[in-house]
Amino acid sequence: MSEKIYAWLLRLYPSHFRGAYGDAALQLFRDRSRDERGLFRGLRLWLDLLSDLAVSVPLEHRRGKRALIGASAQQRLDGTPLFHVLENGALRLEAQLCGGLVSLVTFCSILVLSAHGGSYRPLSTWPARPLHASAAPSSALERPAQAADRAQEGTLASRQPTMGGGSRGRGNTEPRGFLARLLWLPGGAGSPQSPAPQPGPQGATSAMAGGVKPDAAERQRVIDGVIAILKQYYIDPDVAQKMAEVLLSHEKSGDDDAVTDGAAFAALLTRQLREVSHDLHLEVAYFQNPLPDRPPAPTPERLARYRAAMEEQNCTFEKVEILPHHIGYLKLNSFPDPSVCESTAKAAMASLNDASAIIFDLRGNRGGYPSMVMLIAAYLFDHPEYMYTPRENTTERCWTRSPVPGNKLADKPVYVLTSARTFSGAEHFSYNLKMLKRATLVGETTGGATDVGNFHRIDDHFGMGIRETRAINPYAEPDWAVTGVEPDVKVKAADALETAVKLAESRLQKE
Amino acid sequence: MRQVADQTGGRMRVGPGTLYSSIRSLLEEKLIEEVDLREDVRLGPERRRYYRLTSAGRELARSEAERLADLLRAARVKKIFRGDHV
Repeated sequence: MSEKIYAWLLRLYPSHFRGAYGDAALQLFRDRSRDERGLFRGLRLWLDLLSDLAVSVPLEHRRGKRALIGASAQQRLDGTPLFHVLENGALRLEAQLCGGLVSLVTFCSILVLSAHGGSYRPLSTWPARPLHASAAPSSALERPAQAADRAQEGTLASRQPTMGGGSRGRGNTEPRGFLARLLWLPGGAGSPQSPAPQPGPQGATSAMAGGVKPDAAERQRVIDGVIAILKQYYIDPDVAQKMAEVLLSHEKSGDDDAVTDGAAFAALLTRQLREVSHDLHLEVAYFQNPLPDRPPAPTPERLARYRAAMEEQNCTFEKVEILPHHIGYLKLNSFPDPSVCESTAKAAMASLNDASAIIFDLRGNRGGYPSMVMLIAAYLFDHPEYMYTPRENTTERCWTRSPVPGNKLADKPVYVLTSARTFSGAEHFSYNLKMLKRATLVGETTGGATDVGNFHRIDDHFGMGIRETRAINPYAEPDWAVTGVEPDVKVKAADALETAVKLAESRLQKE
Repeated sequence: MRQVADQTGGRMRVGPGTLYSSIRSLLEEKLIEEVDLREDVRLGPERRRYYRLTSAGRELARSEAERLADLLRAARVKKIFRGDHV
């Protein structure tokens, strides 16, 4: 028995050693075990053998490697590459089986992972962020034909501009950003597309009141409309099919009969859709006033009005100051259109260039243009940085154009003040700076308006928003949709500035 | 193995792995060489391997022994040992 054990242990040696001395070593073992009988001597024998193994096995393996390295060096001198055979003997059956099994498991794992490629993103895959813009895929989902179709049916969201900031809170049935953009609610200082001809702000507000109860025919029409849109546009056809089935089954079982008004019906449908998809970017909304057929096109008059309004409000850069201890303070109430406000933004950032720390006050910021978010964020990095947004596929536009020539803020501490009224583009800014650990967020949880996707008109009073992009979120789902961005330091919005100043001062004192 | 243990009063015990590892090194450095396989009638039909010192090995062993002898002499002069038993 003990001989068998030792014979098995000899397999720990490299095969060349086993081949040369295996039999002799076994013979020595036999000699000793024949001579050293009894419990004590037997134990001592095994103690000797084990310590011998512990010393000589690594030694022999190292020696084998050394010989191989030496041989390679010799071949390199000749200038002729050569493969070296590590083992002379054929592979054992067990080794072949084990290798085959490992290969099979690896292959299956890769298959499973590739099948879940869209949704599986480990939290710790920081290096898995998309490559820099030059290597990033261009927007592939937005096919021209699709875009044209959308225009035909009255899709009201345009791709480039605006994160409208019309939302007024989390978890209610009120139309959020993209829906508010449709109506162009006040406070959405971001866009020259305002205001829609009708309904106006009052219309939107009264939409919240709920409207009249939709009858069975209207409910059926809305559900059919939702299903048709889902099947046509939703990013995952299987989930779209499941959502359609769930909507129909709820309708059949009479779950929708109890709704008292249009807003409640829209909220109910949204809930039913999200129960299946868990997609917070999916929403059905009700509007009391009839929806326009087409989005309000930006006319020269509106652009002029927007420009005038921006000039009047200093492009919503409300305050740009240097506080004591050289702390820069920027109160920004929207992220305005760079084509109008680029010079103002650059001037504001330049005036803060010598600050030792910088505080962005976004407590009243309702969003705006992603391009302005990127323009300002560029000052905070010394290299191009990926800024995730669920609104767009990952393209060059998702990378900051850092470094900014002459900028000294790239390594300065950053604080972002947030409130429950911080929306959309401001959340885009806050979320990414937080996730990149580039800023400390101080204040309240933000509003949770991702303002994602495209709006589809279902009928005069109902519409729905669908996310049709597959943006890569390197921080894994979910983003700030509905839930908002949690601050790092939770204080009342009113106390946020004071807290951030204290934090900045104490940090600067330590440096 | 047994001889090593006997010579060192059991202080040094060499296992088969260490032994053959050392033999391999000595062979590679041409300090010993293997002689023909033959059967030892006293031990039955088991195959044994025999090695002997080469002239280089003998030379090295001698120089090593002389080095140790010198060391011993120096230790004696310094009266490191108690008595004359060494």
